[in-house]
Amino acid sequence: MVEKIPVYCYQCVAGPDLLKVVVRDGVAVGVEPNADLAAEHPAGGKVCVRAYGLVQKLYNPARVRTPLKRTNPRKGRDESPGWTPISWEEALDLLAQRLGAIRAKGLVDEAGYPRLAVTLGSGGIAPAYLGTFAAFLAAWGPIDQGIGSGQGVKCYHSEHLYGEFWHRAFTVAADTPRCGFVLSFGYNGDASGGVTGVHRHAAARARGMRWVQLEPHLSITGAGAAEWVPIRPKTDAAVLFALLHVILHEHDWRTVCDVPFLERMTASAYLVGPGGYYLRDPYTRKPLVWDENRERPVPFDDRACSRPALDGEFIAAGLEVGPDGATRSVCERVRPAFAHLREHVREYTPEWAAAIADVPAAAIRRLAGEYLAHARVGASIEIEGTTYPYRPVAILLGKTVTNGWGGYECCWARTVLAALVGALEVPGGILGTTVRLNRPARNRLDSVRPGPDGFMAQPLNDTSRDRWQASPHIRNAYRTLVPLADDSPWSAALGPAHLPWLFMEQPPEPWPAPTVPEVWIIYRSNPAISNWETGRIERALERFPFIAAFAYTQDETNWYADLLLPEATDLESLQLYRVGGTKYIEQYWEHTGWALRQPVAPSPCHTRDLTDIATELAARTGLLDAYLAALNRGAGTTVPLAGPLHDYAFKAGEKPSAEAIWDRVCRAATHALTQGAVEHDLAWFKRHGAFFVPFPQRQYYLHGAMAARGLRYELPYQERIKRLGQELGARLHERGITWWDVQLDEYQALPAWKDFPRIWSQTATAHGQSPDEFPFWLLTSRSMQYSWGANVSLPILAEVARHVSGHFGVMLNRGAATRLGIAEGDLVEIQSPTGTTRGRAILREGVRPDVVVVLQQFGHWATPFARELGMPNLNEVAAMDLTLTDATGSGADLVPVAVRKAR
Amino acid sequence: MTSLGALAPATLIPAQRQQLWGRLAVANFAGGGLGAGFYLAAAVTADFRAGPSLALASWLGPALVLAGFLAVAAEAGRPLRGPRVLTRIATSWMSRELWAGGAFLMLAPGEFLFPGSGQRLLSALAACTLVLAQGFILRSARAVPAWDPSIMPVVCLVSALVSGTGLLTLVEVVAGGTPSGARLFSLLALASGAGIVWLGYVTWHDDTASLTATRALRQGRAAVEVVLGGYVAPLVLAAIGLAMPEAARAASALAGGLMVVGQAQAKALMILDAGLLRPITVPHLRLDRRPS
Amino acid sequence: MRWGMVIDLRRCVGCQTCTIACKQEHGLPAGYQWRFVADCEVGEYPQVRRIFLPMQCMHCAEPPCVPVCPTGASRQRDDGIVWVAYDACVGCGYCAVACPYHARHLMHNTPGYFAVPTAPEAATAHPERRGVMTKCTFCQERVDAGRARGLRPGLDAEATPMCAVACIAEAILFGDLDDPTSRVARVARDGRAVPLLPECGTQPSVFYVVE
Ligand SMILES: Nc1nc2c(c(=O)[nH]1)N[C@H]1C(S)=C(S)[C@@H](COP(=O)(O)OP(=O)(O)OC[C@H]3O[C@@H](n4cnc5c(=O)[nH]c(N)nc54)[C@H](O)[C@@H]3O)O[C@H]1N2
Ligand SMILES: Nc1nc2c(c(=O)[nH]1)N[C@H]1C(S)=C(S)[C@@H](COP(=O)(O)OP(=O)(O)OC[C@H]3O[C@@H](n4cnc5c(=O)[nH]c(N)nc54)[C@H](O)[C@@H]3O)O[C@H]1N2
Ligand code: SF4
Ligand code: SF4
Ligand code: SF4
Ligand code: SF4
Ligand code: SF4
Ligand SMILES: [Mo]
Repeated sequence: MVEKIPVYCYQCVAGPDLLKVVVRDGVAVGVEPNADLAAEHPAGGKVCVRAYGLVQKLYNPARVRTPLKRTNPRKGRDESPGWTPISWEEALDLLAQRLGAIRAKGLVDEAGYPRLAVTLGSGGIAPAYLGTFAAFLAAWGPIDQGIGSGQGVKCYHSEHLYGEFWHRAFTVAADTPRCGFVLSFGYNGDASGGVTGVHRHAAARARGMRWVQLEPHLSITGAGAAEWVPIRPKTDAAVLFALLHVILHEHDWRTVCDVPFLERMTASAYLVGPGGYYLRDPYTRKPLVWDENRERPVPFDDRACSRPALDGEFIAAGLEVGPDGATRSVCERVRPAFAHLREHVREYTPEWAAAIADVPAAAIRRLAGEYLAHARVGASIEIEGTTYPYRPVAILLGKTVTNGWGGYECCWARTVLAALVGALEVPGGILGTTVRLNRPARNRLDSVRPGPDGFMAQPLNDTSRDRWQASPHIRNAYRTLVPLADDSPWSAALGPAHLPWLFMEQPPEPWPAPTVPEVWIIYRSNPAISNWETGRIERALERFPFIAAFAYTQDETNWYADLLLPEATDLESLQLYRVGGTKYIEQYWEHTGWALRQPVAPSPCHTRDLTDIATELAARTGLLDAYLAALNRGAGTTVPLAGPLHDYAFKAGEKPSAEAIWDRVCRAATHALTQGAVEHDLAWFKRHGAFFVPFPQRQYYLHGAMAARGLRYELPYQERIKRLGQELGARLHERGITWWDVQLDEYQALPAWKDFPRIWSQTATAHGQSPDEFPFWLLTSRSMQYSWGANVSLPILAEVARHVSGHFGVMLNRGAATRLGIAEGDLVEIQSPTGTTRGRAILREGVRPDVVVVLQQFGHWATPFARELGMPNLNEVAAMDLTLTDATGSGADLVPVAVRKAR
Repeated sequence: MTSLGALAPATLIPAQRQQLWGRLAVANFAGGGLGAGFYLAAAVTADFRAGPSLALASWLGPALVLAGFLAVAAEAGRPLRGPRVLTRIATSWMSRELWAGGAFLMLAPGEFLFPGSGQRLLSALAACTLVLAQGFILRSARAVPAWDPSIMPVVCLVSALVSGTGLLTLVEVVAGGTPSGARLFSLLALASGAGIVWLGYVTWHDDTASLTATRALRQGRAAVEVVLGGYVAPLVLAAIGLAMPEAARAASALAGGLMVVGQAQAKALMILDAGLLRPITVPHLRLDRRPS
Repeated sequence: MRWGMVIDLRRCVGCQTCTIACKQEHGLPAGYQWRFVADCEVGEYPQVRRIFLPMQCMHCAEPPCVPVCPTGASRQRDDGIVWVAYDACVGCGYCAVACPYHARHLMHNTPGYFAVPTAPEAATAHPERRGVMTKCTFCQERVDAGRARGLRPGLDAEATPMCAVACIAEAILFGDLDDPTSRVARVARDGRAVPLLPECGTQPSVFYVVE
């Protein structure tokens, strides 16, 4: 008997996508696209190679098959944990008893940190597999969710924070189907963009879109590009600045730029005073602009002003408002923000950039010209009856470009370049995909609310004297150190999530050393492989008193755990998840709704559904009612069970099964989505897999909401950022904290080029070595066959991945390798000031001679099968260091290294 | 940049060594050639009349051929289905090889049951067909450029005659005989003639694929061994034998031995070292900036 | 009727979804693939092109692999599909050295991925393939079963080869080359699509759009 059971896959952040599992006589034997939902799904209901790996994931004999308890009290890489199998009852009692002890003592320790820490990994996909565990966490109270594994601080971190700040863009995507020209600085979407990304790009290429890939190695995405520009690592900001220079100084900006957009949709016309703050109306404190007609300063929102000056110099009077409300009356020569922008980029000529980035000046000029030519300033397009500006050009930035030092500069320049031609949040241009820091989470447009100075309201962490969070409430101190991290449920994970590891070892004077959490629960995350300086992570883990790890297999982090809990995995558990609408990385649907994940076959192991585990833990820790209340509120599931039209709320004292819970969620979700018109239960979802309602494309473009609310993008001048920096600096210095001073320099109104590569090469100096000893840049790149380290234990993926170069070794430029006497397949040693890693040489022409590339994160020593791959890991040689941490609290995956043939 | 415009053809997947046919296949091509060649040589030199050498060839020849067949059977995935190989005589040279080989195995030993020049003629014909079939098998292996030149059947036939005559001379000398001038002359002629055929095969190619594939046969120690050891040396030794009769026995014996070894080595090189799969190419590909 | 494919190299990103989908559809054991997508590099730094090239049986109209077969196990159907009758094959490997496209795979044994076969491995085992020649079948079972149900191969997923159905870039078109109205026939006609190794005279039914 053959059944085809619909489920969703969210094994990477580019999902979720829809599939069917083929089950023959109770055994899952295959995966296929969900053709029933081809019309709703943007990629025709297809799934990628990793989804096909799910069958092997389910039946992998190397899984943790039953709860395991540690018997060896000593923890260390060469201390076998001595696992002994225990029953689920014992396991849950053991954990509940530890948790109970915490509740007895108090949820927060003497240092002010939560005694319970929880790390949910894999780049933010955990919620799609967590069942109702999040409701348990919500019921618990203060929890430290900021002890990281590299997710966030290694992702598009600056883009996440500044992107949401400027245009509600947690991640930025091109409006690919309508775009004609993409400049991609290391965005590897053909490997990282998932099914929908690949599907959109392929169609665009076939249609003739021009894609230019600036990247130190010829990636999967570079392969399909019209042109590959082998740029020097971490110098992207220089090229982006030079593009600004060419447009603003070598072209007549008044003819090539979208002047009306700059005047009405940005702060380009705002006058900037001598102190670097906007010149404001003394009474209303509104920023002033210069009215060309009336030849006097008027408030920015003066309807009578039809010609605000963008350039020029004017004598004007007004008030500057600096940090902590400090004011200063001004009456002197001032210029609009746009004029400051032009002045700022004057020195960034293509010749200047060429010397830094190893990209010919002529190429930079040509690309700027192509960008302007494709922008079609003035064109418009009608979508669903609404007329929009049509600007088919986009600049995309990859992971290593948008995080760590230089991330702010690149994100700023990219967004300003879009604004110059009006290609921001309009058809064809760059769009945000989703919001994570702003609310409501599921509608970007609704998150647009009026704030100060004609800009959007921003939920920033307060830096004022009285409201600043002086002592960190969790170990990564995001509220204290990173105003832009905001304070949403995601903020903890998006804070400087590596600082806890750093500070637990070296306390930052005069702060107390962060205490070690009494109980650490970890799920779908492997910091001992994913984070920088993995050796250090392991040393810290040895000191954790109790680690409970939900575990699929043994891995490098749960090697240090005290309890392994094999929860029911992808094809074994129940969950209803929100799909559709717009989502990172490149999901733009014309529908939105809900999809189900369900057990497809009997589990081959003694697993438990995370929802039942959550319910059990709640019951065992006396939190059942609070947990049910959280469920009723919609914690974790995002659907309140009771609403104006329906009431599926659980009564206190109940102890519902996973089936019962998800049945109610199904009903409430469909009911709420259709304003009561439709209601489907769990049984219905098990048959049909998903339920959708139309999602208008109008929702893709923030422009509509901005125009409707008469708001402006906070570009190009960053007055607010500058003020935040000043205030944060004052707060920290008031407490004698100076170790964050370098980070404070990033808060610039107009970011300037800094020698970013040097910041990394200085690691050598810091460790008493010379930068010249490390002439190569070690970089990392995505593989379509792998999701981080999540599926590295599956041999079938390794088998097919072998066809794609980079698996399994280190890619070097053939010429450079030959000079080093390294031949194909030789074992090479990659050495940095802080460590070494080894791998087999893969010689390629498509790699810069000063670059070596290692895919994903491997170097496993405990994970079954993966430990036999002999892959090097960048994290073994990457330093975890405050000096490599930018103001947003992120770093980047690149390391200056020496490469030699191993003996 | 545009100088790197058209580039035709571009190699996408470079040549790799074929994995399917190994030492056992070599044994078949070498053994079959030697066995059939030995019989041919013996029969022709004996003018298809009875004689000690032909008697020997009548069982040793088939034995060598049979050994070759057993070797390939051992290499095959389902050897027990062997008889099915006879079924495609209309199209497959491998069927024909087996038929010819089978016929040879039936006919040649007839020397001891129903001897006669007719039986010998037919056996010789079968032997001839067998080695030609082997040549055509390689000739139609389109995946392996080093195997499919049209001259291949000739190469195999000549190779069989060379090794066969070599073996014949060797056994006769070992049996105490002294090579006649005619024999020495035929050795000389064969070695030089076959040498020319071989050199023609390894050098004369119009397409790059076969040229690269046969590189292993042109250069390297092994290649030298085949040419010097397998052709030049025997030629010289035969000449020496002709020049000074007192050295004829030693010289011809050595020449014969070298001819046998040389051909075995040639087959091994051809199947293993030169057994490179055809690279996958596309007619033209632009390297410079391309419209996407 | 002659089944054929057009593969658009401008779309392919080498994700290997087709590779794994084919393995799963046909229950191929560890290490065996009837199709794979090669990662090719042409040129020298910095003038380099990286191209992903899906390779499978070309279902040649003049298949050198068929006449050479001594047992008649290697066969060609009237609709052009070239296949192997497992029960007739001796596994001599001759057809494989006759195929210029690396498309034939002698299944010496049928290994599993782990020490013990998993439930799905056991459920999808094909003992009849042990020791014989195997290759891409153009999913003849799907095509035949689909047509029997009145479906149109190339248009209806259930009658179309799994690799084409699974391809996340829509890089693979399947259809009847003899039907001038089919998409494959149209692309193959307009000259953008070329076969591999035309010099071999095999007349492949798989065409590639290179640029
Ligand atoms: N298949 C797959 N998809 C994924 C993931 C996965 O693990 N697997 N992970 C998801 C997550 S969490 C993330 S954060 C994203 C990451 O998405 P991407 O940023 O697209 O991923 P990467 O390929 O890691 O990085 C892109 C490229 O950056 C280039 N690069 C490195 N340094 C520089 C530089 O200084 N300048 C320039 N211009 N380029 C540089 C590298 O060559 C690399 O190819 O992918 C997401 N999607
Ligand atoms: N060298 C290098 N390091 C990187 C990156 C890089 O590109 N290169 N990328 C960085 C980025 S952007 C990110 S987002 C992070 C992500 O890094 P992490 O958040 O650590 O994610 P993974 O490495 O995928 O770890 C997932 C772990 O969960 C386990 N697992 C898999 N499936 C299941 C399951 O069903 N249940 C349970 N309980 N466990 C499961 C796996 O065995 C694996 O150990 O990595 C960062 N680290
Ligand atoms: S892209 Fe990510 S979510 Fe989509 S199918 Fe592949 S792994 Fe699953
Ligand atoms: S590709 Fe190879 S196997 Fe397929 S038909 Fe052509 S020659 Fe035969
Ligand atoms: S391997 Fe099988 S199909 Fe191929 S030629 Fe030999 S018998 Fe025929
Ligand atoms: S057509 Fe079928 S058998 Fe052939 S490669 Fe595609 S999926 Fe595999
Ligand atoms: S699935 Fe499509 S895009 Fe992916 S490798 Fe196969 S043909 Fe290429
Ligand atoms: Mo990430």
